Amino acid sequence: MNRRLLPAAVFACLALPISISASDLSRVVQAMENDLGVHHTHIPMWGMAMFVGKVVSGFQMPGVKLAVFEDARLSEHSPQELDSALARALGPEWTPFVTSVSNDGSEQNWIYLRQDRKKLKMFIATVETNELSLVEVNVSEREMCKWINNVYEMAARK
Amino acid sequence: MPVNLDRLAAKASETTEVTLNQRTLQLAARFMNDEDDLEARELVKKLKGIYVRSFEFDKPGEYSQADVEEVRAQLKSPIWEKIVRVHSKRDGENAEVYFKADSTKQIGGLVVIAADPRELTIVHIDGPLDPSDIDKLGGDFGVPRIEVPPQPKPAKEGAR
Repeated sequence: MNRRLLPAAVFACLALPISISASDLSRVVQAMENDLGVHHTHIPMWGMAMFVGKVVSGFQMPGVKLAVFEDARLSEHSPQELDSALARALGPEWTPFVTSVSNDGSEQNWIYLRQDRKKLKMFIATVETNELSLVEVNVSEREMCKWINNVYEMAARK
Repeated sequence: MPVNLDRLAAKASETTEVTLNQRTLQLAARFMNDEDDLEARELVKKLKGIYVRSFEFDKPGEYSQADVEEVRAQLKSPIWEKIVRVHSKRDGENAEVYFKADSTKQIGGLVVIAADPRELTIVHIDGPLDPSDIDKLGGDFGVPRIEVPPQPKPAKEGAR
């Protein structure tokens, strides 16, 4: 890469989370923060990590967006409250697909689907104790076939 | 789900719920392009929904026959008819299949109760189908693999 372009490329990668402000993930993060009174954790160099990963492996993770909350106040909310907050934040265009809840509340997973023109998007939320991870990802045809053929195993792998 | 499963959910160590409404099924059908899935794809296009609730238990015996009976009791005639008790090809799981006849006397939906000592799965398939169609869906969308023997179709109104 041209050396003069490198700083611009690095800046663009670091700015990636900001540039996706219009994405569903950003909207959901903001809504969850307002609804549950929690704050998400900034992931330093996430855009850079995605860029380096692509260069090293030659494989681009298709449209992966990630947000993490590490907040003790998460444990104040029941699985039902978290589920309701997530559903409200996502809106009606997202349909619930898989929900998995452990009875002791130690782990909860929600997976939602949305069609975006020809793409299929998946939104995965995982709560473990005081940590909430939100992932928005484009799903390929091959991946969707795997989900259809083995919902439980794929949900466990997430 | 046409049955209330709250008591089972309270006893289970983990509850998994798979929801495929008509919109999601239409979407999923677009991705069922394997030769093995072609029959299932045609079936899925006609359905209104597939809903799966699976309860996992830490130890055998953590749910009782009374718990299963409570589910069965909600699938009552004349809306629901038990058609068959079957034995799963996989893991020796026992399953019962109930069907719902709609106003045109066609089968309008099915409920499958599949039980093994540490797992209880309830599947509701909403939409027009034949009991043998469960075999086509078995293994997809979390529907257990079971084989239902052919059943006589419900008589059409006015038929002798």
